[in-house]
Order: sequence, then structure tokens, then C-alpha cells
Amino acid sequence: MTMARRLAIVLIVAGGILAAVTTFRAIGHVRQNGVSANIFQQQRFRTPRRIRALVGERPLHAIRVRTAPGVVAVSWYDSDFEPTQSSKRYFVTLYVDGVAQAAVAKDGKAGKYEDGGVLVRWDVSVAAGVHRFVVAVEPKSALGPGLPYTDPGHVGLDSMSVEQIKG
Amino acid sequence: MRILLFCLLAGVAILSLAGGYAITSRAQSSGDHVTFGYTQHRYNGSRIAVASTGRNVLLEHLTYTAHGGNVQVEWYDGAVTPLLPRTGLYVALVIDGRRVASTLHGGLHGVYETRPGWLLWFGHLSAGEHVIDIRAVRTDTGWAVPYADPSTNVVDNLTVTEVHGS
Repeated sequence: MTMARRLAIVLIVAGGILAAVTTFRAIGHVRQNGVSANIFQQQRFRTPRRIRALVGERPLHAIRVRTAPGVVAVSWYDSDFEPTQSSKRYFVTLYVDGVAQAAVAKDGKAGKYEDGGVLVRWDVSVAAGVHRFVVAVEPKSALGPGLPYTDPGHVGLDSMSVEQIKG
Repeated sequence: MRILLFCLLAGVAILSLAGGYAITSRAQSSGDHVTFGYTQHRYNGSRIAVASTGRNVLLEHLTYTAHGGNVQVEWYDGAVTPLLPRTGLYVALVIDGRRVASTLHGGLHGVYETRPGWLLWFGHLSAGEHVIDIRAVRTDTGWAVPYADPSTNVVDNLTVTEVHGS
């Protein structure tokens, strides 16, 4: 292996690690004895993410976690939902095991200067076992909204949490 | 073998650069505790925030003693209001002097565009005292955070919820 190829590998790996560390911040905590679940999944952005860039039906977030029976609090937050089309309405929906549980709407009348953070919260009763929590946005379009939009020097966020605290 | 390794590493790097996946790490513990800290204010008159380069406006301030756990920090304001057309407001979460997250609000007309505002951040705090600030770091033309009338009590608060071991 030539020195140039080794250098290329090192640079690619270092770039990948740096990008992963700076883009994603996912932390979590699970008590496997069924008393509590506490999972956070958080992405950080220094440039806007456009929804049109998402492939197919890929959701914004998906978390699989084992829970105890009882109530689970699910939340999704984005630091800036930026409509980019006039007279357009978007829905962000929380799914639990494939069933739509809760949605929030974001409108764009002018398609500019209508930025704002968006938060969805929903408490749902679940049986003991592994459950899948998903957040998805519809409709996707050619002029995708910023989710989030952010400017240089700022740190945009998109996060989901699943929490169950008992006893 | 080297080619396979190269392709694998390159694939991971490309996926990371493209923002293609997220990793959720999990830690296990027993004897969890939840600790809560907050600061809360009510307004019956508008608080006007005007920030410019090098000068920001402190909206909330909390000194929190962490236990080395995972925290959820949430700022909420009941009536974020643009005062002039075509404007933007960045509100930032600053922990120990470091800006860790921002949320953006826009205003097209500058009237009848009042809405609640949130900033929600998840992270880890080392054990010990931390200074948690919420600051308006860019206001363009000035915003009310919150807008309030004399007959109202509009809220602005900052809460910290920490899950940690005993």
C-alpha cells in the first residue's frame, strides 16, 4: 500500500469520525429491569437540512426500546421548521408500533420568514416488551422545508426522546 | 482484505458526512434518580430584546448542580413576538459559556405573529455546578420575549431534568 493511499484512508476515516461527532449527539439510558426507559436521539446541524434530501419514506427518527407496562412519554423537537413554499401545510406524526398516535401541523402562507421551533409531546400506554417509536414528516416536496434551517455560527437541533419513569 | 477494509471505512465516512444515520448509545444502571431544577418568570408587560453583534440579551439564568447524569434542558416562552417586518430571532442555550444549541423564529409582517417558543436540548453534564443561560443572540429588528399585556401573566421559564445514578 502506497503512502498516498494510507494517507487517503486516514483522512477519510478522520473526516467520517469528525462528521459523526459534530452532527449526531445521541445519548440514552435504559434500565433493563423494566423500571424505566430514557432514550434520547439528537442530531445537531450547522447548515440547513432540507426534507427533500431524505430518501423515500425514511423517517426523521426511529427508536426501538424495551419498556415496562405503563405510560411512555414521547417527544419530538426541531429548533426551526422553515416553510419554503407558499400556501403549504406540513404534518409531523408520531408513530408507535406503526400506529399514528399524534401529529402537529406547520403552515407556510408566504413561504418565507415563517420560521419557528416545533414540539410534539404524547403520552401513550404500552404493554411490556420492545416497541418502535417513529417520527415522520409529510408531504415531502421538491422545495423541501428546512428541518431545521440554521445559519453559520448557530447550532440547530432535531431530537426525539422516549421516557418511562415509574416507581 | 485491505481493499475490503478500505471500502468499509470509506462507506462509514461517506454515510457520516451525508448525515445518513444516527447512533444511540445506551448505558445501564440501577437505582436511578430524577432531579429537577427550574427558574420561572411571569410578565404583565412586554420584555423587549434587542441584540447585536457582540451583545446578547440574557433571558433566563440558572445555576444547576449536576450529578453526572443525562439531562433535558427546556426553555419555554409563552409569547415570542416580532416587532417589525422581515425579521429573525435566534435564541441560544449557553452552558458554562459555550453555545450548545439555537432556535430560530421568523417574522414576515411584524404583527399578529405571536407564538410560543421552545428550545429543547439533551446532553450530559458532569457532576458539579453548571451555569445555564438562555440568551437572545440575534434579534435583527427587536422582539418581545415575551409580549404581555397588563392583564396577563405570560410565562418564560427554564427547566432542567436529570436522570442519574444514586
